[in-house]
Amino acid sequence: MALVALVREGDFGAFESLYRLNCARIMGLTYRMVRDRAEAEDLTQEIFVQAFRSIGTFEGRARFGTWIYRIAVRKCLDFLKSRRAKEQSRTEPIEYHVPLARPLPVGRSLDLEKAIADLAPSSRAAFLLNKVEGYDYAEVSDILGVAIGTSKSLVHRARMKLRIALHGDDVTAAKESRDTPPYTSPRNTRNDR
Amino acid sequence: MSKDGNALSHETYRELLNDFVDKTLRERERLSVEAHLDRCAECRKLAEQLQEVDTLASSMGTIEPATRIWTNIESELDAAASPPSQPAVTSQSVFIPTVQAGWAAWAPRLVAASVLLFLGANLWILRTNDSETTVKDLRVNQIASDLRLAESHYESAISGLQVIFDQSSQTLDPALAVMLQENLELIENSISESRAALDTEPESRVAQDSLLEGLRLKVSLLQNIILLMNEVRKGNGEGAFGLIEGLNTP
Repeated sequence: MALVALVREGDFGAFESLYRLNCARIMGLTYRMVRDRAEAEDLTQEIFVQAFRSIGTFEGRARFGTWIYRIAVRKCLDFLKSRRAKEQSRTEPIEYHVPLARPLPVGRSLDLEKAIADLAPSSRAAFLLNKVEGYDYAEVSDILGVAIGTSKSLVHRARMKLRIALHGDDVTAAKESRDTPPYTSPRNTRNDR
Repeated sequence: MSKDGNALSHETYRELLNDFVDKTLRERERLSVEAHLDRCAECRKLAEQLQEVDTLASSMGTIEPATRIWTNIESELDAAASPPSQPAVTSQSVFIPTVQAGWAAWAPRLVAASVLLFLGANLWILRTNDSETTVKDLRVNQIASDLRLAESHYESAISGLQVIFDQSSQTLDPALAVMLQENLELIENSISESRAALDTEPESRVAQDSLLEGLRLKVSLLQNIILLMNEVRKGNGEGAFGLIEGLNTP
């Protein structure tokens, strides 16, 4: 907060400090949102330029990080929307892949990155903010401009999809797991399974 | 268990698993879900997989943007910004070359020049009376509180890059490898000097900036060396950027 006050007073060195402290996190978010390093760097640049120009609108009720993430997410979603519109306006046939019956067996971290890229943009943003950046649901809802319940629902759905991307929808196989003792409560058996 | 004491349905338990993994369930619900997990392999497996997604996500690292991004921002805001009262060690004073055709021919000189520029600026600043250290207490406290976090990110990146460099430096021309190793040691000395300055003056913003800049320079230099080694090994830059992406997300 003190740095923001100094930036408002015209201290450009303080703004550089804010950049140094936040740029790698913002870059991480933009890269994972757009999956293109050059585009992510351009967006990071635009985000900090906009942050500097609109620092007067930062009211200080939230953390600076939350405020700049709001700018970042909006920029990324606008960018993705624009990219999608450009792709749809192409006249040449769009390549597509036949979905695989089972997801490819995947290594973990790298494949999670790839799977995140396949999420819908709003789910992707919510998941990254909550699970990668560590913002709680209230903060995610503040950054995304949605209700807390919506932010939670976006994250939960994203996590379910990512789980399937990593493992396939194989939990039903566990039903037949031999090491699971049958549930024998006479009163609640039907409800419990 | 539901409020009236009856067990919940399997589907309801399944729906509760997200909240269970988030640790946002009330005690009564949590105990009920735990009891269900004890007897339901399907839900137990689902909960484990959801937890694994969380664990993997939380270990995703930050990604350092190219040094030129700050330079671009400075240029774009140049008209609006007031320059700092004292020259700080910025990306402008440390030139990190990007990999281009023919880089191997001029890289050693540029790397050496950039390291010397950086070291010169650091020494000048660290040995000058620093009035800034006493001017803005709030500011240095803010930076100090984040310094350890930033430092740990850099150290994490450096350790990964250093391993690759140590394992693959034989790819390089021996003379170049020696020079790059010397430059890395020079940067390391400067980092040590900044740390020593911080031990004496923990609130010195200049020393903090110098430390971060030293760490940043080391990361950038290692990244460029690895790019170079890839070019040498493959004859082109194929896969180099993919490698950098991977290195940036430890």
